[in-house]
Amino acid sequence: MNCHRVQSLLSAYLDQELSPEEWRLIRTHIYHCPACAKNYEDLSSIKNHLGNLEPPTPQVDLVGQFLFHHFHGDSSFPTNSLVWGKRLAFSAACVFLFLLTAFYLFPVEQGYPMVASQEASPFSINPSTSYQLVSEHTGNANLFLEEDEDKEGKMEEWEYYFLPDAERPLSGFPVSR
Amino acid sequence: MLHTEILSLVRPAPDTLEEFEKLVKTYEKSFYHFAYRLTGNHDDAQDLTQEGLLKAYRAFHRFKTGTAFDRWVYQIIYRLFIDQYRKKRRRPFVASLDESPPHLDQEKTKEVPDFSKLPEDFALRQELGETIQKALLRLPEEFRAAVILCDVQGFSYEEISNILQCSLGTVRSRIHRGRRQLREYLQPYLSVERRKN
Ligand SMILES: [Zn+2]
Repeated sequence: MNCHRVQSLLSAYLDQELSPEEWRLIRTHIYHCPACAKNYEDLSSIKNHLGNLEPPTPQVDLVGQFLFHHFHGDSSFPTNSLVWGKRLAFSAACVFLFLLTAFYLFPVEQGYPMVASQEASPFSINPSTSYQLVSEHTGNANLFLEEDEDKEGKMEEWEYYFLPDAERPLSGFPVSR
Repeated sequence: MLHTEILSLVRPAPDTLEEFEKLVKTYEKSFYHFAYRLTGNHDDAQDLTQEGLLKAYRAFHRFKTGTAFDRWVYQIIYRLFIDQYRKKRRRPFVASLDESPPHLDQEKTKEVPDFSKLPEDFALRQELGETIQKALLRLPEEFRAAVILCDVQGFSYEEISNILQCSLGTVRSRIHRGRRQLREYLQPYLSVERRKN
């Protein structure tokens, strides 16, 4: 066996992955050939160093984290490249929630009766519409009238027409007793 | 109600999970060591191990009892590494083999520590560990994996051929070429050792 052939088999020789016949041939060659012996020493030293490497300690509880992610239905673990995508998704969700809340707290399409009747000009009132709107709040309207009665005594029906606009009962109120 | 149902769909059968957990606990340090030597840093090793375990769990029903669980997971971790981490290249895992390793150039000029006095000096041993890891990262991924599985994890060529899904001849060649490249990178250290012996 020549040096070239021997050197190509040195690793397998070192790992005892050769046939007994090959193994014997190489052992004999190394014994007589300093160049191949030196190569063998180097490879053997590398193998030893690799085998003596200190096992690194995981910086997290691998099994615990696996279970945590699994139980929370995460499809993948947060790798660094995913972190920004997740942050973006979270921000988008926050904005959506904000808009949704704002929509429900301050609806724009359907006005409440109070708003509608206050905005209505007393001169352009459709009596039936106004009455219909305010009648939903008859309870409140009665309270308002009773308070007035307690403080100032009962007003004559005609007096209502001379009240400033702000104090004039809303049109459509069932003012009559 | 709906939430509970979704959770119960995600939640694995307790006995399956228990069995999986038991197996993982036996090998987790070795898996992590493998991932760490492949990637060279804790963050990537952690991601790689976790993703490997998740993938393994999802396919656990296909795992045949009686076959080697650890080799099966090593194979998953290796495939993940090749498919994902190589493409990502957050850090250059492999340097060009033509260029001279910079850290070793510097080390040629300075005093090379005598590592043959292992393992008394912890700091010295740690420095050697870092140097070897740097050298490992300079190997092509396939060579690196084969060398790690053989020399760090202690697998036979046949076991490695199962893990890497390649022929025995390919395993033999990858290990040998990997070691020869390491010898080139670590030459200054080996020379010191030779002088000592
Ligand atoms: Zn020779």
